[in-house]
Amino acid sequence: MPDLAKNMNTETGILIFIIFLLFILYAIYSNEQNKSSVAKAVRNVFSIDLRSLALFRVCLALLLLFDLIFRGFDLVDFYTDSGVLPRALALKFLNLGEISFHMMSGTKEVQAILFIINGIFIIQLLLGYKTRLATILCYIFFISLDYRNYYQAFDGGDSLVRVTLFWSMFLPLGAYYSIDSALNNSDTETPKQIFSTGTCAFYAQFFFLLWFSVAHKMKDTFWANYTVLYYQLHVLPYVSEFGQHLLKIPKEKLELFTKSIVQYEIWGPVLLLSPIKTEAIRIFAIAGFLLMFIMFGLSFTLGIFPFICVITVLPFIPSCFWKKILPAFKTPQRLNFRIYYDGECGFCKKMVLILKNLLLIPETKIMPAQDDPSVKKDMEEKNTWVVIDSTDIRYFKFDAFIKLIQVSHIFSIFSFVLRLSPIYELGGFIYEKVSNNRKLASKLTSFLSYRPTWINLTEVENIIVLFFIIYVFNWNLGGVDQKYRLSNDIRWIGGTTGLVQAWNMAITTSSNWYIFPGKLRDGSETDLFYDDGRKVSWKMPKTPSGTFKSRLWQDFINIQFTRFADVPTLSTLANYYCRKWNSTHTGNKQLEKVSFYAMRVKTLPGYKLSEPEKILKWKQYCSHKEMPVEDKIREIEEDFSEDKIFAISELWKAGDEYTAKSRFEDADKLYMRSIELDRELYGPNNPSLIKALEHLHSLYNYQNRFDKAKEIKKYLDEMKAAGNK
Amino acid sequence: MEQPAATVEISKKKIFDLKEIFGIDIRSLALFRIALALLIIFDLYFRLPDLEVFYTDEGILPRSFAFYSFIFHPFGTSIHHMSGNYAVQLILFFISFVLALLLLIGYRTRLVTFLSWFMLISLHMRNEFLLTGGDFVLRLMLFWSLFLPLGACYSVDSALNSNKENKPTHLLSFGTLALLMQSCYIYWFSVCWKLKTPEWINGTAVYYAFSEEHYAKPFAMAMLNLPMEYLKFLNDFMIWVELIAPFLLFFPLHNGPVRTIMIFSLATLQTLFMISFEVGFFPWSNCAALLPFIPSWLWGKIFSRLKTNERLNLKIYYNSANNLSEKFVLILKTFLLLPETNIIPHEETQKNNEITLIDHNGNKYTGSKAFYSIFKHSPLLSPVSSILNFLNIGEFAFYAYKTLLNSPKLNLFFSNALTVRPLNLKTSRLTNIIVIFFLLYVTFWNYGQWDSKYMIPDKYKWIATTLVIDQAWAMFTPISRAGYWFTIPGKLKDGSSVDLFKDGGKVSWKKPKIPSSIYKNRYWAAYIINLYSLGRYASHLPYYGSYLCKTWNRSHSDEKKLTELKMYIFTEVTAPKGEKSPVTKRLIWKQRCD
Repeated sequence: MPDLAKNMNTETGILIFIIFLLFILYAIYSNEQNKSSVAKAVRNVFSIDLRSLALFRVCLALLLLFDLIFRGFDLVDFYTDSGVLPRALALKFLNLGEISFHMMSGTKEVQAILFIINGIFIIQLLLGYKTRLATILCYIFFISLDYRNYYQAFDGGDSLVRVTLFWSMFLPLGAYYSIDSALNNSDTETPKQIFSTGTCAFYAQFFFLLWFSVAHKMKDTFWANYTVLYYQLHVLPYVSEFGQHLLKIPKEKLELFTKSIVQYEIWGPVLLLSPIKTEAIRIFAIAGFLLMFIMFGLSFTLGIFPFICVITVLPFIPSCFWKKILPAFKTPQRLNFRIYYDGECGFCKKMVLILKNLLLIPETKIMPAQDDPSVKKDMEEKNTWVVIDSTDIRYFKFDAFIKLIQVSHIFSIFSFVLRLSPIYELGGFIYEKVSNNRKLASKLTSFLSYRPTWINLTEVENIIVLFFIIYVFNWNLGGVDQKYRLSNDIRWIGGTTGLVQAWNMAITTSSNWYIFPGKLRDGSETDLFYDDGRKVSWKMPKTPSGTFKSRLWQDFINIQFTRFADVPTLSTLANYYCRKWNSTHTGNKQLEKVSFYAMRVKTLPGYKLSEPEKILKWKQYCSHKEMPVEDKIREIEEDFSEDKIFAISELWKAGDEYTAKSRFEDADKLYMRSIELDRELYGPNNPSLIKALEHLHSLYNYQNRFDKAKEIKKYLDEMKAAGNK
Repeated sequence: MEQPAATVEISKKKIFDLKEIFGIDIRSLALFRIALALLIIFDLYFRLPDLEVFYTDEGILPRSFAFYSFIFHPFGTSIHHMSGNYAVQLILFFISFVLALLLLIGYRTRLVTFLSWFMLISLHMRNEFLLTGGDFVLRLMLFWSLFLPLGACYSVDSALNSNKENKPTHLLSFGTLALLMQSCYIYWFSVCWKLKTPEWINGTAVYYAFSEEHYAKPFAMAMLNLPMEYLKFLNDFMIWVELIAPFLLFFPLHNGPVRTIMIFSLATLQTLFMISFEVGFFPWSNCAALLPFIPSWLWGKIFSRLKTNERLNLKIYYNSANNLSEKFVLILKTFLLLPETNIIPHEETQKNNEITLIDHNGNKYTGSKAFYSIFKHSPLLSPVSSILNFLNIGEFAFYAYKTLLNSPKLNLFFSNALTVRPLNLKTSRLTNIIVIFFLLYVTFWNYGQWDSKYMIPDKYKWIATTLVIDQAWAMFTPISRAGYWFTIPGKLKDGSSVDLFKDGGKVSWKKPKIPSSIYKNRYWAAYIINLYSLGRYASHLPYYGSYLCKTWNRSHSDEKKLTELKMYIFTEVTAPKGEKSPVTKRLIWKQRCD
């Protein structure tokens, strides 16, 4: 097998993509009746079975729901103004076009309401009611969540969910096993599989995911000798315990392992495209992918990434799978099942149709009770619907519902739960209430209307999808090869639609774990990284990826300290810890100083890690005690004698506090000392120094101390001139 | 022998009818709804030119700063926060505009009222510094409208009403009571505030009010020349009118005529207010607040004149095969005020999709002539019907009607959008309870400003600030005995000076002729005056200054670029009548433009 990974270059990749596009266009725009085998083959290969799509929809909705619930636990920390990411700070990361509803308010009450509304739309997607609308709303809300908490935009799992939701807007997720399919009143039977630009786009995205991830891995010659996995398994913030066990495999085996995974990432998708014996080969390919993703999921702590990967593969499940599975459900028990409902009650008919679809018992025959006189008699006498099973036994009221659940094999386990005494009584009571108020129920559910299921895309939508396929390809290409990077004029499209993606996973030779020592007033130290107030330990935890509170915290801390470690973000985090600790501790146990250390570890060949290097990222006081200003300056300088860099911002912060207390002269001294220090360490005419001086200039103007302002202006000009020499 | 079926009915006229006094006529409610919608539309229209300045991140209140700069609502929620982009803000404005249009025609009124209220609150919370009295009244009116069926009459909802019960012409509920009370609170509690201010008590307030340069219009400046006794009389007159007139609105005897007179007098008061002071659309909002008071008596008088024989016997035939045709004709009948017209399906006209009108004389009109005849009969359009005929509007209307019915796409769209549903005018018990709660809350909120013993406790104040129903009708109280105006001299690179306040005019230290009109529009005036009077300008002026620098330098060549600017405020402390008022000049801001 040619080693495609090493020998691929950008231009070849573009060529392959163009060929792919041409095939698609040919297949779409050629006549349905066209005998051309090429068109037929392309249509066959790129079609998606609608029942797989329904499975995909259910799994995606469940994933979104659980993700939302887990995010809800971190609501205050990440989505309000009283956490680590107040809105004003979050704004700094956003680019043009990146919009978020969650910016509407910084209070936790409003965020809670937004989360609840989001949950309602996810449940709507799950049940498949007005599915396309539900997909669009879930998509909009998910982007909104990710742009409010921008650290999530870098998370691979979140990116894939965003992208998947986008392409799902162009697929008929609600064609089967949904409320939409229950209320389907079109004359034509719903097709079992479809081919459209939407389906092609879905395939394309999957290919991009795998092939560009390989491209990122192979970009550097350093990685090209298949040591990628070795290094990945050493990336501390992400590798799980299982992954650490994997490292016990000897090196050659690991390299072979890596090679096979990379090769499968390349050739697996090609297997999906096989035009001959498509369905059989495809099942193997999918099994391979599932195995691969499960391995990823076990070896690394990647949040929802492995789950969404598995879910993205689901629509590719071919029709032969359903052909084999579904007949197994067509037991004689189910084939003769009949449900009779009150023909005069619109609500009853809708309910029965929905139950038939959601409980997956399509062979059931549904008839109005009025059709059969004996059944009609039963219905009127007992005031109930009538369910008749294959042995001709009749069931009524809540018992009939339980029988239905039993017959539906997937949900039959719940029938046991429903028979438990309190639930049984509750069920019976609810049934009575509903059946006695059928008219009211009909009125309330009148919004559920019969409409034909939507399947096909219009011309305009086809063009839009094609545009975005090309856009996404270009985006990915630009990530791998700088030459093809999209210009800023059109980059905003990716931002607004959430299609930004970069499938390069954690390929580095060094990684960090973190320690946040906080000094209390009585002198003791506590590690603020953990919530339980434990003592600081400089030993590396066995599995650092497991020490994070939640996946939101994992993403936040990792990305902040590697990408966004600037003064505002770090001081906000420090202030957060100060606030949190001091609201629950008093007196001597109050927090005085906070510092953040990153312990950097390099991966060495030979399964060894280097000695951890202690890097101080931030240090500050929680608040300043009142004292004469000279003492304050001395205190800060002593404390920060080894970390003078942080003394600059600490002195400035002290100056702000004194200004707030109207001790302007003292504040001046602090500011000037901070500026002098800045000049000492970074020289004149450095950006932070200039900015600080300009800030002082404005401040003096505001305080109407115009002479002081003139002084500062002169000093500022001096600095600029000194730097230019 | 047959006894004559004589039934002598002695209908006792009640001394006072609760429905009349505390209820609202649904026609007044319709007029009120139209007024609110128009106010929203015009407000949006006038805010539009300054969209970039006030609502985006490139203006004077970028979001990072706006999140912490509220005046009364520290946790204000606003959907405008979702993006600082000009395009997105434009889209949001457009959505508000569409909602206001739907409110105007009364389509799905309850939902649209709620959405309009939410969009308005968002608009206010995005930038609180632009708000004036008119905004406060408008949002309160919209809030109370959430509990009233504004679409009861003269609306698409009422045209497509499937409810066969007789519609009451008069509504009485706690919602109507609350709306009426709110309109009166504006006056009564303003009096309370006045009575706490020494100037109003000793009669000099009007004099000082007229001399507040940043509000006074030429009329007020002219009125200053009147002798002090007249101004004192005006002072006391204002207090009495504001106190008594709202009470008279509820006068039990002869409620109809008395109320009408009081509405006119209060409207006159508002007009006088408008010509004296630059207060934005406060007088307009207040007049809108008076509309619900219009009594049935007045409507009765107007409509009795309109019920001519011609109008009573009209028959319109529509095409029964086309669903949309009936709806179209029903809507036409509602909006052109022809409620007695009979609408009948006619099979005969099916082929040509025509519309046929048969008037009281039995004359038959079809097609565009039918439209012309409808216009002639409609009380709304009959004065201008000859102009309409001249402009061939009848042809145009008929053409539009045919296109609407025949085009399958349009037909489908409108048929789905215009659904016949029952109109429910009854207020549920739950709604009544909620309204009573809010009414009591708002009453105590207002009364607590007069007597602090009754003020809402601090921990429950969040209800008012979240729903933005907090209010303080302290107009011209306390009286600031000073008027002010501003100049912003900026120094250009070539050494010359321009006044940025006048958009590049000449710098002059003289008092402008009409200090209240130096502002570009009332939003700028509100912004600058609010900044100054709240003492908050210090944190905002850097943004304002940078904005001025940026916009000037964007449109001027190199030598004319701005290098630095200063902001001066001129304060004229009004002296008692006859004495000279000193003017002081103060520098409040200085910054460089590079």
